[in-house]
Amino acid sequence: MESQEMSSTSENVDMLSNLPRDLLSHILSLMPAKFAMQTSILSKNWRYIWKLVTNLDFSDLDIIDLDTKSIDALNCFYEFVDRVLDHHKASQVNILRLRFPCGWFSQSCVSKWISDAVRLNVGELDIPIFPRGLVELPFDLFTLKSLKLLKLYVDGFRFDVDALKFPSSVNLPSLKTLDIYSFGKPPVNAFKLIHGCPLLENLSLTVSWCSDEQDFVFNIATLKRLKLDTPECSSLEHLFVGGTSCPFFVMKDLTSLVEATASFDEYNYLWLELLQKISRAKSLSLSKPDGAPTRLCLPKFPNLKYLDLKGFLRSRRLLILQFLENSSELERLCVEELRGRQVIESEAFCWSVPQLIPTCMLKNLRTMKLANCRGENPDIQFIEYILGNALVLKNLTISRDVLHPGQEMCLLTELLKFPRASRDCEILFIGEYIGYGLMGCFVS
Amino acid sequence: MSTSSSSSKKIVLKSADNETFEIDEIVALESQAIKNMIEDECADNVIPLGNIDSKTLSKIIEYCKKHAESPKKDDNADIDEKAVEDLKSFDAEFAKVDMPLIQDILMAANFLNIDNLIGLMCRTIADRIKGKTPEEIRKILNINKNDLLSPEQEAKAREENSWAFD
Repeated sequence: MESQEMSSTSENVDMLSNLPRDLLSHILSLMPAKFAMQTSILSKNWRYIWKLVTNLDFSDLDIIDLDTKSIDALNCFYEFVDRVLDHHKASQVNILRLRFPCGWFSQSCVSKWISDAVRLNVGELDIPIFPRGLVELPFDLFTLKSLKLLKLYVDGFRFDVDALKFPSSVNLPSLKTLDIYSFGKPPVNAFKLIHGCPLLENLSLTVSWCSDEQDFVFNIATLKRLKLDTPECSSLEHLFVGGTSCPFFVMKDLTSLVEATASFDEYNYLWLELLQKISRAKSLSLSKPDGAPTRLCLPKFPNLKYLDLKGFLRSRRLLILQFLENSSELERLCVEELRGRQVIESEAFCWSVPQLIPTCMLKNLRTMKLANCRGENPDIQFIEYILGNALVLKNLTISRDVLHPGQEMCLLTELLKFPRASRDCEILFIGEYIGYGLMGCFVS
Repeated sequence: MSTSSSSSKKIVLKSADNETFEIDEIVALESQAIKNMIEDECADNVIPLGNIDSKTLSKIIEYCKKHAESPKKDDNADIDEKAVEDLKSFDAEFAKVDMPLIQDILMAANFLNIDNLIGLMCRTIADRIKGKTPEEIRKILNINKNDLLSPEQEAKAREENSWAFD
C-alpha cells in the first residue's frame, strides 16, 4: 500500500533535496568533509548544500600521502579549509577536526583556523598544534561558551599545554571533555584549564610532575570519567576521587599510592575495581555507595594503617568486618555514620560475630572512633564486639547522634558495662546535650 | 495489526491511508512528539498521522517497540553489553530497505521526533553515498537529469572545491 502523501517517492524527484535543511546538514555532517563537498556537483539543488555542514572533519587520511604529491596539493588543501571556514553558513559548527603531519602548515595558518573555529562557535575542537616555535591560541578560545570538547594534538602525540601562552583565567562553561597532556612543572596551564571547566565530565590528564608539598584539589562535581596518567610519576601519593553517578577509572599503576579518598554515590563494579587499584595505600577514606551489597569480595589491604568509613555502620557492618579482616596492619579505624539515619530493619538482623578475630584487632588496632552513634542495636553490638575482642585498643572515641538526654545516658551506661579485651582501653564519650551535664568528655 | 498482550495503556495511531495501529503507550513514548501530546493531554484516543502511510508507520512501530523493550542506557550503568549488541544488529537489519522507504522513514521520524531513528536513517544515507562517484550518487538519490549543472557550472564547482575532487 503505497501512499502518495510523501511525494519524494515519485520518480522524477530528487530523493533528498526536499528534506528539511537540518536533516540534510545532519546527513552531510556524518561523512568526512571531502565527501560532503563532493555533493556540490550533483545537481543545481545540491550546489551549495555543503555549506550547511556542521561537522567539519578534515581528518581524511589522503593528505598524509601528500609527501608524494606536489606542494600544490598542500596549498590546495590549505585553500580548501580556508574557503570552507570562510564561507560557512551554519551559525554553529559542531566539530572542527583537522589531521595533518607536524610542520605542514605555518603557525599563523593554524592560529587562523582556530580563530575561525571560535568565530563559528565550535563545539568540538580537535586539531594538531606544533610543538616547536611560537604557538598562539586565540585567547577567545579560553572563554568560548560553545566549546564542549577540546583535544590538542601534535602529530598523534598530546601536546604539552604548559608550552602555550595562556590567559590569566579560563572559563569554558560547556566543556565536558578535556584531553590534555602537560610537561609543566608544575602543570599550571593544565590545572587552570581544569579549574575553568565547571561541567567537566570526562577528563584525561597526563602529567609528568608531582610534588610532595602541594595539594591540587579539583572539586569537579560533574566528573564521570577520569583517566589519570602519571608516566614519570610513579610516586603518586595522594589521590582523591569523587563523583555523582559512575566515575570511571583507568589507572595504570597506583602501587605507590599512600592516601586515597573515594566517594561513589552509587555502588557498581567500578567501586570494587577502584578498591583493587588503591588497595596498597596506607590511608583510605571511603563512603558507602548506595546499593552496596552486604558481602563483597574485598581485596587485601596489606599496607593499610588508617581507614575512614562513612555510612557503613548501620546497614553494612559485615563490610566493616571484612575491611578489618583484610587489613592486618590497621591501626586506626574511624566509622562515621550519617546523622539521623535510621536502621533498616532487615539489615539489623544479619549481624553475626565472625569466628576468627581479625589479625589487626589482635595486634595493631589502637584507635577507633565512632561518630554519630545512635545507641541502637547495630551500633551497640558493634561496639561490644570491638571492645570485647580488640586486644591492643587504647582509645575508643564515641560521639553521639541526635539523641534525647535519656537516650544519651542509656547509651553511656551500656557502654561502660561491656567487658574490654584490652586492659588499658580508654573510652571517650562526647555528648552534646547542652544543659544536661553530659556535655564534654567522660573518661572511664 | 501491532497489538500487545500486556494490559498497559494503549495508544492508537492512524496512518494517512486510514489504517489503525494499537500500541502500548510505552512504545509510543519513543516519539518525543507523541510524548509531548500525551503530557499536554491533547492526545485523543486515536492520534491521526495524516502524513505517514501505513507501510512507513508499521516500520516505525517495529523500531519503537524494539527500542522501548531494550534497557535504556541511563537506567543502569552496568548495562548489559549483549543488549547493546542486540540493538545494534537490529538497527543494521532495520536499515536494509530501499532508499524511498528510508527517506519516508526519515521524514516521519523527523515529524514524530524520534531522535535515534533520525540518526540511524541519516547514517544509513550517509553510508550509502559517501565515497561514491557523482554518477553513482545521482542514481542512488534519483536525481533528475534536468536538474544537473551545466558543464561550465560543474567545472566551476570542481575548481572551487578542488581539494575535494583530487
